[in-house]
Amino acid sequence: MERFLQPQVLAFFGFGAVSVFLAVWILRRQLRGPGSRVVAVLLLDGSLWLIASGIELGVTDIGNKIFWDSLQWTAVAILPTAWLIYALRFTGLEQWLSRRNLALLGAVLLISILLIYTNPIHEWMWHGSLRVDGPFIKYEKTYGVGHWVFIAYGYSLVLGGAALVFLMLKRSGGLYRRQATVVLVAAVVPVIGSLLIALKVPFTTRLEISSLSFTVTTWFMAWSLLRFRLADILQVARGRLIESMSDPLVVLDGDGQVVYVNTAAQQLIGHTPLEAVGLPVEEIWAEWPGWMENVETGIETTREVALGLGDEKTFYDMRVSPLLDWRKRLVGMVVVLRDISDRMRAEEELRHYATELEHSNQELEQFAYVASHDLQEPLRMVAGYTQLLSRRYQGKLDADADEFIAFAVDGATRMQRLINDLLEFSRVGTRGKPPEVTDCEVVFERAVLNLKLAIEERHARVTHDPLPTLMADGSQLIQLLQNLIGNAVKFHGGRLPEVHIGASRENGAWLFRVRDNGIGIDPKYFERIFLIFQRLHNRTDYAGTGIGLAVCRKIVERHGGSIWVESEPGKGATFFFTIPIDGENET
Amino acid sequence: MNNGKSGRAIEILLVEDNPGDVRLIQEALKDGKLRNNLTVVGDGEQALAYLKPTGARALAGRPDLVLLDLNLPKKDGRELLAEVKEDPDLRHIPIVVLTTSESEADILRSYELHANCYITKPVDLDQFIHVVRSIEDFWLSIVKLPVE
Repeated sequence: MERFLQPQVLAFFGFGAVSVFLAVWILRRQLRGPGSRVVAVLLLDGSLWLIASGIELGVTDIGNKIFWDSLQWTAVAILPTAWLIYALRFTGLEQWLSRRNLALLGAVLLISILLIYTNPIHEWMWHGSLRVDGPFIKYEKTYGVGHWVFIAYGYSLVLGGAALVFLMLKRSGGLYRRQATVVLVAAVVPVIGSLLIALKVPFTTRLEISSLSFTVTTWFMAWSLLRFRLADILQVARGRLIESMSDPLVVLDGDGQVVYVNTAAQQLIGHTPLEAVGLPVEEIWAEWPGWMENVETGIETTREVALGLGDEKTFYDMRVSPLLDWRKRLVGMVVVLRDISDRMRAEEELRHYATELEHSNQELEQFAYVASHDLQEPLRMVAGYTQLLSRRYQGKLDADADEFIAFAVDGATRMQRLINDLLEFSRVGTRGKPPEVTDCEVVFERAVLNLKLAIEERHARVTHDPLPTLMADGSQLIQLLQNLIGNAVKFHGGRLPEVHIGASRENGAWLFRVRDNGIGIDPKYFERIFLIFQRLHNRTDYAGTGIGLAVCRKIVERHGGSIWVESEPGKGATFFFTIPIDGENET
Repeated sequence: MNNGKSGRAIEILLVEDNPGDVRLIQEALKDGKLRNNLTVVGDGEQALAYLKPTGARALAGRPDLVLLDLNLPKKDGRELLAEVKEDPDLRHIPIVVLTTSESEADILRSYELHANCYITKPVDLDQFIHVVRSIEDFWLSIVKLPVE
């Protein structure tokens, strides 16, 4: 009896008991992971192996030895078969577990067990004899051909199963990857262990270590099963989500046959899964938007498609995600359609408004141009004849008449100027030319030339930094600089005007500066000065209609830039404007 | 001062539908250097009837200079210009287009139709008078025209 209390034997019993406990726990909790019952079988098989080994070590007579030894070997025989079944279920290859294949595996297993139990008659498996070893009497064997065939078969099943798990590991991701790793380690541990033993360690202990490492393996599996239960819930959740989502989803296989359609897709296509699955998608879905390029390359592609007709038309963002196997071959596609009709309608509306706005802006500009042009004609008459009146009858009527005529002439002249300015202003939009390569040095020279009289009259000094060459409407740029320099000279405030023009490149645009030492501008007028016909000064102090800066702003905005001013009253002003540099504008 | 020919008055045909402009041109020419006869017609058809007289009025008055507005009722200035410049008997008569239009298309079209010059009516009275006198001075005093 003391033999049963040896630590070696107790270890067998202990490990065996843990396995039994785990098996019972798995079965009672009804864990639903793939092959949970197979894992329980593996656990029980392992404990059978361990307990039988323990008892075999404990008993001394040859009859008992042979009985428990055969039981051990039965457990060993069951192991590879159960493992293979587990591996197939774990990797989702259950279709391989056909009735025929199962019958085949079972038959081989039965023959193995039969051979084990009939060994004393034929001794194909081994020839056994008793030998005293330490505290134990051991049943030692010389192995026969049958044993090696048996072992080779077993290892091939174990390695085959491990290979399947390995392939799955290679192509799976996330949670499954971790579990598959656990299972793979579990499968490889006993294989490596037993191989090492077979090569190095005396035969006698081989079985013991194999059985122990195998048991550890089954514990791994049990643990992975527990983890799998969580994955299982996740799987169910994913399924529910896909089924109930409002975006139609279709899964196709590599040949374009429908594998799955969710509820939304069923409504869109008008077929139930029963009608759709297994058929080419073009056949069951008349409006199938067609295949996409690149689908073979495994790159996810997206495009917009319109389904339905007329007002029923619905716009979808169609996303096709190719599914590739571990050899990068196309095995399927996930097609998801997202309804973007609202967005499209909003965009269309926006486009519509933009066009309308542009149209009405153009009309307005055209109107301003035509109106000012046509107003000029009668005004020419009014101005011309009041001038003629004043010239011919000045001092010939009475004093009142002279005054009245003077007012009429003044009003008509001012109105002429206003209309002229309005014409000039509307011409910025209606008479603009497309941008061309423009040398701002030349622009500067022309602007200064046009202002020659005013500059000489005021003894103004106009200087500049090197100026860039850029894409712009050259004549408008001249007008722009001319207006700004002209203002700088005009609003001198009694000092000798000094005007400096600089330019620098900032944030993809040319930033121009026109700095003067004139009267400056109160910050509260910074916005107002750019509005048409807005004046800050009395006509007698500074003449003008208030068109210059409005024209400047219009020119700058037509070029996609902006204009602003920095100034303090009495300390001069600096006008800034930007001309954006497009990609093609690089010079 | 005369332009070297006999003392005969210079014949000017003004084709203009705006009475205000007619009067202004008359005023401008009144104090001009040359003795001139200004004939005014209000549209292109009248102008053509004047330039291509039939029957008794044949050869009666062939102007030395035509001042032509472009925008006219019935036959407009462009059509008239084209017809006159196509006529071998008339095409030598200098035609000065005097109009309010500043449109580049009108300018180009007029020269293509062999207008002798194109002038935009100035808005300012002084300039207007100056322009009319300049026309008179240039075409009737400086320039040598063929003698019929």
